[in-house]
Amino acid sequence: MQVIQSTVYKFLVLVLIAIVFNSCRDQAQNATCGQVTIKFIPVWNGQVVTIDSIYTNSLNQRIRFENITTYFSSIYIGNGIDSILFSQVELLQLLGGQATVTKNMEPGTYSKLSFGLGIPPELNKNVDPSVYPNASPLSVQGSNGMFWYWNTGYIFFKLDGRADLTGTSNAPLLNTFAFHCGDDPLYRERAFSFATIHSEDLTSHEITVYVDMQLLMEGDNDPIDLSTDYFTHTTGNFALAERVTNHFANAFNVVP
Amino acid sequence: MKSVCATFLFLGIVAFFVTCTHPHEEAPVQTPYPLVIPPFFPPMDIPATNPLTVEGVNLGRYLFWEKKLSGNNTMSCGTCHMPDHGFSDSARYSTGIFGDVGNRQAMPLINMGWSTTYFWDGRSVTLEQQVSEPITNPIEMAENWETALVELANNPIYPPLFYKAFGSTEVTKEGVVKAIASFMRTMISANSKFDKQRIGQYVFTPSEFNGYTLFLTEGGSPDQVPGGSFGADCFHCHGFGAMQFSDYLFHNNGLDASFTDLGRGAISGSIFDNGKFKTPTLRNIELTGPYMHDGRFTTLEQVIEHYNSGGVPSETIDPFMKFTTGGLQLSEQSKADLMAFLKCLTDTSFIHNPAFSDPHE
Repeated sequence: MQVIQSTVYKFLVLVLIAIVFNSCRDQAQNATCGQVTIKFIPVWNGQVVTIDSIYTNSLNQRIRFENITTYFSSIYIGNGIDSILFSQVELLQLLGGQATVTKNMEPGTYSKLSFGLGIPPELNKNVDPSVYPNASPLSVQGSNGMFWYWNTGYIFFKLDGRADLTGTSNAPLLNTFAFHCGDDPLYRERAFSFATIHSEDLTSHEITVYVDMQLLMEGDNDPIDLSTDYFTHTTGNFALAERVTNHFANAFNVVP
Repeated sequence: MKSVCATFLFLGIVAFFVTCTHPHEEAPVQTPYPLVIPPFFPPMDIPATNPLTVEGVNLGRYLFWEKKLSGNNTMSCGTCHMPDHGFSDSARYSTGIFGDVGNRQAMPLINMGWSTTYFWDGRSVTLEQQVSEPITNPIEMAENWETALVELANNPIYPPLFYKAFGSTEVTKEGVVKAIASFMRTMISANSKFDKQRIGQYVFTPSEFNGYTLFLTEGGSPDQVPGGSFGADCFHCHGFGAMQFSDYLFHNNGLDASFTDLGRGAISGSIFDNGKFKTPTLRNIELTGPYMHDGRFTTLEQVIEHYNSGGVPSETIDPFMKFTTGGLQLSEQSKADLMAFLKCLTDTSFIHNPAFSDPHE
């Protein structure tokens, strides 16, 4: 009996040591990570764009945005020497203030951000989305209506809304616009610098990417006239899709 | 420490004897249901809390057709979700046990395992949530759970079925809901002409192929719609990337200028969702009339004509509707071809599948 008691006692002590050791190790692992959030915010003239606000472009057309769903891919953050893949693909609704991507990052110094607008060609076509798990943004369900099975792969972004073309202040917004753009030639890459952050023990950092919706709709003195250019699904009106895509790609900025 | 060791030893001995005293009372084994995902379909997400089992599906089939789940034992799920009509109601509005009439058409139950929301307004986000609602809805089956569970428990067929499905003879609401949801996940339609064409077992007729092409082509006149190609414009909302002919999103397809039924707007609380309803699948569309959320169209021809007209403008009408530019402007031949393609989505083996029939008969 003494032998059994002694053996059980030793066993319990070992279990306790293992529990304590594992707890410390987990804590140590957590302590090595910092949390970095990339936040995308659409703005018009410096103000956050909301679904219940109406904006007026340079053509005196009153605009309401209802959908800015966008794929971002190959999101890297780095420091000019090394870069770390932050996320392969994200599908974000930019309206509503919830367009964030958060990851735990190893300790380090970061000052560079780059991403692709859309889906890179190697993932865009000749891929059956049913092979992805449903939680993936590239899956049939996860793509949430952003996959063109029949045509050009994924819709890189959907920009939908309504407009009043009369310019009358209280007129209902009865005209619609829909820019659904996506095709390999429309994939765009952007890179930015921002104030250096140090991702260290249990700290969190936020990188804010602004999307200037006015610049998107107006370009560099190239306003999109919603009375004529209000609709593209890329094919059939590739020129407009390319134009909107270029405006969009140039509308991003990160406050240094 | 001695007392701790003694306690451990005592518990071990007790556990040993408890395990060994009932060797003959083994819990029933639930058999994983051999769900076959059809070609080109995405995976089906099945909740970990409700794994698909042969026994659960079998129980669900009995419950789906069980009239004791209604207040006066006259209605089952299958009363309004009729197989011959693609498991939807042939009436514009379903009539409840007290003669009350709803205000929406019963949605067809087809490939529900892939849907991401349920009901026309998407108010349920799981099949389990969806299943429980009609049973207690006062204008539908108008049953209360306490009564239903007692009635089921008193029926000699159910306690053994619950035991096989869940390891207990106790009839519970959770068990009822899980079993019916499991059964509905097996209601898969994937044997239409369209499906056969996809795997090389059928060749579209010229008219069906023209309809298929129209389905996938931008609508409207190119003079009035950027990129317009006189197509039928169906694919935007009824795409078949997921093989379901629905984007599972919510759209206002231009039925009304103002809304007596707010649809999605009543659920989300956003005025920008007013008049929007879930895109229904087009699978078995030939069988699932009347059409639209309120069943206002009795024929598919009327549906095609609605889209051909461009619809009625409103504050939330979908950008895809061509109300300002003269509609789709389809020729009579194009309409006929589109109809021919839509009928390629009919799957008679689905509606006649004995696995979905009433087991009480």
